[in-house]
Parts: sequence; C-alpha cells; structure tokens
Amino acid sequence: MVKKLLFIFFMSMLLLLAACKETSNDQIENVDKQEVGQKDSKEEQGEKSVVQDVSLSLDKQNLSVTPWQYDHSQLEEVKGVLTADGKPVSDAEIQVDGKRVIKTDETGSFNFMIDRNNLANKIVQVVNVEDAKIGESELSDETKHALLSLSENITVNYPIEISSVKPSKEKEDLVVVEGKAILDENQEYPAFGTSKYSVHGTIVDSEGDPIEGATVNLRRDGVEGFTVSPPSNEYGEYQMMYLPEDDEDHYLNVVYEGTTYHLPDNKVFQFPEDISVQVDIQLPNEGEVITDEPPYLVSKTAPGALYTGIMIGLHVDKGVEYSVTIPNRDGTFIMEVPKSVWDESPTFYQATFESFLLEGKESGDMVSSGFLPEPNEDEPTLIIPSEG
Amino acid sequence: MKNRKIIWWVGGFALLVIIVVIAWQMAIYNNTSVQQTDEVEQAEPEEAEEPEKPEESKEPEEPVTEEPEDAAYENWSTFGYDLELTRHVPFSEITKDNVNDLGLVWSQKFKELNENIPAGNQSFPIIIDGVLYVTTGANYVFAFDAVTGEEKWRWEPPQDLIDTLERQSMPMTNRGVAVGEGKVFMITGDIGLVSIDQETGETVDHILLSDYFPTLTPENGYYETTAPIYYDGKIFVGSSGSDNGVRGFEMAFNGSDLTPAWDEPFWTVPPKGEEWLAEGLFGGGGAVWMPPSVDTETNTIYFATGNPAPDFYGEKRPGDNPHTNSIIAVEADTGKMKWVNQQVSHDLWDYDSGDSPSIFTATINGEERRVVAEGSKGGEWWAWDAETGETVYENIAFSKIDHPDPTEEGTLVYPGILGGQNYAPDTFDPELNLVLIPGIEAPSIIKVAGNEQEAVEKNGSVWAFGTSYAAPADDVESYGTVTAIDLENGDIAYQIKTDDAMRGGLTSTATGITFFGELSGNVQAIDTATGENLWNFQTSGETISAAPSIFTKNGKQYIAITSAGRDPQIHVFALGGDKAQGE
Repeated sequence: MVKKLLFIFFMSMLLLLAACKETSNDQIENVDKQEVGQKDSKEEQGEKSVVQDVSLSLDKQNLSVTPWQYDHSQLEEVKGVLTADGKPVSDAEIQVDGKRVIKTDETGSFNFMIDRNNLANKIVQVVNVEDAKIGESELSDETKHALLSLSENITVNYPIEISSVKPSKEKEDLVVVEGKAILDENQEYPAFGTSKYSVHGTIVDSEGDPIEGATVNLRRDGVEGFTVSPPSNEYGEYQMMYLPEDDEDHYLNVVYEGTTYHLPDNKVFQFPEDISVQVDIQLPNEGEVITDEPPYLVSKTAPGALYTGIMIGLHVDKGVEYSVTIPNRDGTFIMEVPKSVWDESPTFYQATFESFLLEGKESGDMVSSGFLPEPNEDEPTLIIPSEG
Repeated sequence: MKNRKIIWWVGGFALLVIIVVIAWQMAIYNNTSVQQTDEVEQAEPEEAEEPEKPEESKEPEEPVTEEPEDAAYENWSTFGYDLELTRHVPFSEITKDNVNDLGLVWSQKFKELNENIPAGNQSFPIIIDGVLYVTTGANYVFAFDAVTGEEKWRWEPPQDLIDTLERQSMPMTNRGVAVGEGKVFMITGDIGLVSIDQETGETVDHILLSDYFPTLTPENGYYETTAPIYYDGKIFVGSSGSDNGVRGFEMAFNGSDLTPAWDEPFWTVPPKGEEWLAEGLFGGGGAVWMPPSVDTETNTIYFATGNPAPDFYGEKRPGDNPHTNSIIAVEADTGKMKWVNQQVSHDLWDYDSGDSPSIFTATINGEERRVVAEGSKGGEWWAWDAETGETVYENIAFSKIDHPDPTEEGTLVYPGILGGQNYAPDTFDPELNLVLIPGIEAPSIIKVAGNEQEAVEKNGSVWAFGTSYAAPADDVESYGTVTAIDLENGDIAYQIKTDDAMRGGLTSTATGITFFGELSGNVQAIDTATGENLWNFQTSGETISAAPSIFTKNGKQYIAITSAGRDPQIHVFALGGDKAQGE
C-alpha cells in the first residue's frame, strides 16, 4: 500500500513539474510576444519545417484607370496568395498601401479592393507572421524572416501608346513624340482647369509689421460653408482657395494667438465671382474689430487661380529638359524630347497637378518639364509605353 | 497505524505541493494577462468589472429603494437606440396615465464644468450600464453616473484640436459618441477619430483621417459634426463639407487600433475633372454628415448624402449629379455598393438627404416588409425595400413645397435651407405601424444674382471692392410639425404643428408616447397614435437641438436630453423627479 502510494506521489510530482516547465515556457513566449520568436523553445524547432522558397503573388499587378462608374464597379477585387515551398501560409498579416491589414486564410489566400478610378502605386507586404502556420505546423525563425521580406507592387495608370516619333523641324537634336493615354470606350481623360480661386494678401499689425502665424477664414452667411487659410508666413502672407458662389454674404475673420478679429457688426464681404482676390488686412491696436476701409482693409481683384489635372511625364536624368502638352480629353499628347534621351527608351509617369498659376493653362497647351509635378509615392511610375 | 501515518504524511505533502504549484501558476497567469492586456487590448478586464457598482445607492432626488448589488440596466447603446436607428424603446414604466409625474432627476450646465465649452449642443447621449456619455461643442466628452449626474471622467480636447476648430470659425458642433470594445469613440473637428478608455477617460488612440487619406483636411473644406457608429469591430465615419465642394465619403476604421477597415473610402461623387464634375472642377459634395444605420440581418450599412456643390448654382454641374441627396446601401465589411436611390436630382436649394435613414419591419399592404425610410430637407419622405432598394413609397410630402422662379427682389422658397426634415431623427412605432417625422416650416428668400459688373471684372482689369451690409434676416413665419405616416398605405395619419421648427428629433416608447424637445427649451410628450399633447416641461435650457435618449436602471425609466443655446446643458427626467420648471 505504502509503496503504491509513494509511487503515485512521485509520478504526480513528476507530471506537475513537467506541466510547470511547459507552462512557464508558454508564459515567457506570451510575455515576449513582440520579439519575433526569440524565445521559441528549442525542442519545438525540430518539428518546424525548414523552408527553401517563400512567395507572395497577386493575380493582377498592372491595372488601367477606368472611368468613374455609378455602380462603383471601379472598385476591383485583387486576390493574392502567400506560400512557402508551394504550401499555403495561413494566419499571416498582409498590409496594403500602409492601410488595411488582412489575414491569409487556410489556403494562404487574401483579397482586397483597389479603386481603378485613381492613379495608384501601392505596396502589398507581409507585416506580421507571429501566428502564421503552414498546415498545422508553426514556422521557424528563418521562414518568418523570409516571409517578412516579401512585398509586391500594384499600380493603376493610363497605359501609354506611342503613335509616331519624328525629328523636330525646328531643332535637329529633338524628336517630336506623338502619344496617347489609352482609354476605354466612352472614357475621357480628366479635364485640366480651374478648380478654385485664390483669396490672398498680407496681415499686418497696427504698426504695419507683418504678422506670422495668423489664419484667415471666410464663412458664408446662412449655410455651413467656410474656407480657412494655413497660418501666415514671416512676411504676413496668407493664401486660401475658395469656392466661387453666387452673390453671397461672407464673414471674414482673422484668428491670431487665440483672438478672433472680425468685421464691424452686420458688415460682410460680397466677393466677385470667378476671379481671385487680394485682401490686405491691418489688425487693430485695441479690440477685435477690423476697420473695413483703406488702409486697414484693402480689397482688389487679382490674377491667377488654382488649376487641377493629371499630367504625363518622363523619367529622365536631372538637368534634362523636354516639353509636353497637357493631355487632351481624348488622351492625346505631344512631347519634344532630346533625341539622345528618347533613344534611351525612358519610362513614363503620371501625376496629379494642383497648383496656383498666375497665367491659365488648358488641355493641349505645351509646357516645359519643369512645370510638371514629381510623382508622389502613391502615383504610378516606370510605365513602359507600347507602340501604336 | 504506522502505515496510516505515512499515508497522511504523504497525502498531506502531496496536497501542499499541488496547492503551491497552483498558486504559482495563477500568479504567472495573472502577471501575463496584465502584460498582454497592456500590449494588446485594454478593453476586456474593464468590461468584466462593470457589474460592480457599490457607490450607486445615493440618488438624492428619488424615493430611496433598496438596490440589489448587481443593478439591472437596459441601455441606449448607440446613436439611435439600436443600430437600425428606430429610436423606439420597449420600456413601459412611463405611461400616458403617469407621464405627468415626470420631473427632473438631475441636470448639468456644461459651462460650470469648463467655461471654455462653446455655446450650442447637438449631442445625442449614449447610456450603457448606468453611465451616460455625452459630448459638447469643441469635442469635450463627459461620462456621468446616469442616474445621479456624478461626473466619472471627462476628456478634454488637446490644444492643437482646439486651435484647428478656432481657425475655422465654425460652430464647433458634435453629435455624440459610439461605444464598443471598452472604448468610447468620437469623430474630432480636426477630421480625426479618437478612442477613449471607457472606464478611465484616457486617450487610447487618436488619428487624423489624413494619416491614411491625405486629401481629408480642413484646408480642403472638410469639417466634422457627426457621431460615429460602432458595429462588428468597425467604426463608421463620414464628414460635413458639401457646401465647400469636398468629395463626400464614408469610411470604416477598426475599433481595435483605428487603422482602416476598408481598402478605400466609399467616395460618393466622381473625382474632380470627371463625369458631371468635368467642367465644374470646383464642384463636388455628397458629404455623409450623419451616422449610417446598420441592418445586422444582412450586414449592410445605409447612409444619406448631402447636396452637390456649388449648392445654389447648377450650371457647371450638368445632369442629375448622381449619389448626391441620396440613400446608399453598402456592404459593411467591404464598402461595396449594393444600391442607391436619389431623392432630389440636380439640387438647387440645398436639399440634402441629411437625416440618417432608419431600418424597420413594417406592415405594408397587409404584409410584413423590411424597409429603409428617409425624410429629406426637401420636405418629402420615401421608403424602399431594404434588401433590393425597390421603391415602396416615394415623394410623400410632409412640408409645403413651392419653388417659384427666383427674381432680383427675391422669392420665398419652401422648404427653406433648413428643410423639411433636417438631421433631427424620426421614430418608428412597430405596434402602431407609424413613422413620426420632425419637420421644419421655414421658407428661405432666394434672389437671382443681378450683378452686371461681373462682365467687366472678367476682362481682367483690377477692380477694388469692399464690404457691404448683410442682407436682413428672412422675416418670415417659421414653425415645426410632427407628421405621422401610416406604413400600411403611405397615408399621412395626422400632422400637428409645434411652436418652433423641429431641430431635435423624436423618441418613442412601447406605451405609445413620443418625446421631443423644442427650441424654447420645452420638453414635450405626445400620444404617438394621435399627436395629442400629454406633458410639457420647461427646462432651464434653450434651443434643444438633439433628441432624447431613454434607458432604465432596475426597471426605472429615465429620459436624457441635451439643450443648446448660450448655456448648454443636459437634463435627465424620471417619474417622481423634481417638477420645478425653468423660466
């Protein structure tokens, strides 16, 4: 009897100790979850498969811009798969464009929507494999590191077709390239034109010294419309873009160091339509009321407007100049490029243009390469043209 | 004997070892779970502690009753009571017979808590397990004990948020919070989203929407007034700004960490330069400035869109301007569109579909149907099949509608720019099969621009201009209405006049009573079936601009409502409360 009991006692002690060891390893793993697998128990390593080849693939990577669709079908589903040695990796986290995080399912698949109505250059990358598995097996550190290095790009752009390349008649070292942004039937290339007008000017204190850090805002009477400027610069200059409206009353306010300066009671601006304006403001020495007559408030119309459109440019070395027309609504454009540069088969980019221009431009106008915006990181680059 | 002793020794020692080991394991487990909680999810432990509320026995205004240790709560847990936004509560303590025993249990002037809180208030309170969450203008959030008014915590806006709000010189309106995962979510006036610990009031996360979508900034004309909706791990967010020509959107973020839950925002209108915005590059609109409703049966959200821009000038935005002034049904998980119905095409009068659509099952021509209903600022009401979008009722007018040709002298246009039905929500009583709509009868004077000077300006010469006197305020009679529409046949069952334009909205109960507040500061109860006035209470507040929220604790029913004006407040009523009224 005693022997039996002693045997049961020692066996249960052994079991308990084993359980403690296992649990404490689990605890350590849990506590240090952020450190990728550093404290994985050595014993388990043997069971983890050694992986030779990891892969992240997307079913489409290069999409053309489609027109805006009323049924929102411009949102297109993209499917992807994450594998290791051809086997699906489940429960890995994939992030699209630094935004949404998606988990892979048991087949290693994931999917996301891409808006084909916008220019895009998105990175799809593996961001977390802490809970990832191949079948029922956990991953080795090496596999995890290999998976975390994976990323793919997906772009949305206007495909470009070159229809002719001819020597320039004026300058023999230039070629004239006729090209086209390829469009769907009934699709038009986005219009280039005025998106807003400017309200700008200077803000000075009662001594006439420029005020830095003041903001100006306009409120439309009766409705919830407003416009607000970024803070004025060291010269007291401010600028904001506003929405032209019919003959409406606007309240003008200047906010500076917690005080809101305003027009006299019951006084409003009625801005002229479809034109930029310059409004120079001198703040009062005392009180919060801006005197609404010169020299305290001087208002006049001004040239220029904010223009918006989508431009097509070339990747060329710094210092290389070329010219290009603002694309027409049918997507056609013309470029004048140094022949030596064109012979290197440069790739194209597309970028959104939004700038205040003193002199207006329209589709078809020739501009120099210095006028073009650089593509931002979300815009398509390295577009290889086809020959038409 | 000896053997027995040994057995006791061995058994006792074994038991001791087991106890020590279990205690040790529990200590490790607890430590770990605390660490994990800090790292991953702060929500669960706090939620688990909710039932213990030992301090809640002091309720000064009420008859003292013995309270069970675990109080029972029936919550008003989201903007419109339920995710469908029906605003109809199943509570039955307050009846037509005892409604006159209602009195004030507690109230609080927000400026007494912080003098910087701006005038005005459009917050719809949320009450969960005896805690009331309410916002003020400029994004202050307060958590009060819902039956005593004792402040539990407050969240005050950081200075950079206040600076952004001040720069806009707009009313710093906010319509409330959403609660989920142990957090309180609010859309902030810097076009941001904040999550706040539900127990402590500490900030958990605060993002700007432009962190992910760079065009969503105040400088681009966006501003925020709306409350978010929490559903299935996601926070649904829209914005205001149609009048500024913004591109309207609805977007979902993850409640866990405020990262995007959809790949792209649902943009309601085309990008500038395309479609009907090809020539009017300064146009846009279609902002979603009220919370969406959710049909949990089909995992669909429904939201209303605002007017196109420019608002009163339509020449450079040809056609119907689709998806503005519309109800749009979208898959909650992906943002994929299911259907859309437009209420006012090519709008020239600022007739947003403002109010959130509500979803309910009604008896229509003798058959039960699940419908989505909407009243618009244009003064008309619609109902569609929730699943398919098929029209059930359309263009049922509940306001005077008259659009004479504008003249230089000005003509009266009905409804005016306030509506119709503005954001003030309707309520649906399933027993009576009635939807009740809060209406505004306040025409606007619209003048045609007669400015011949423009032709000169456009020739390019510099032209000086200046200020002039503001046009006098429209001096026309305005009042409010409550209209009951019978879902059976779409007929107007009755319409009553109210003294003031209805800016707050309606809430109904299972006992056939509908509550609302007025601009005078009066809170009123009417018979849902007939519109007959049952009870009035003049609060010490004014300009009530939000609807009541109703909740219970231990079966006792409470009604909470905010008031606005120069001295914004919150008022909570219950049977047996103080009947002393305001001026």
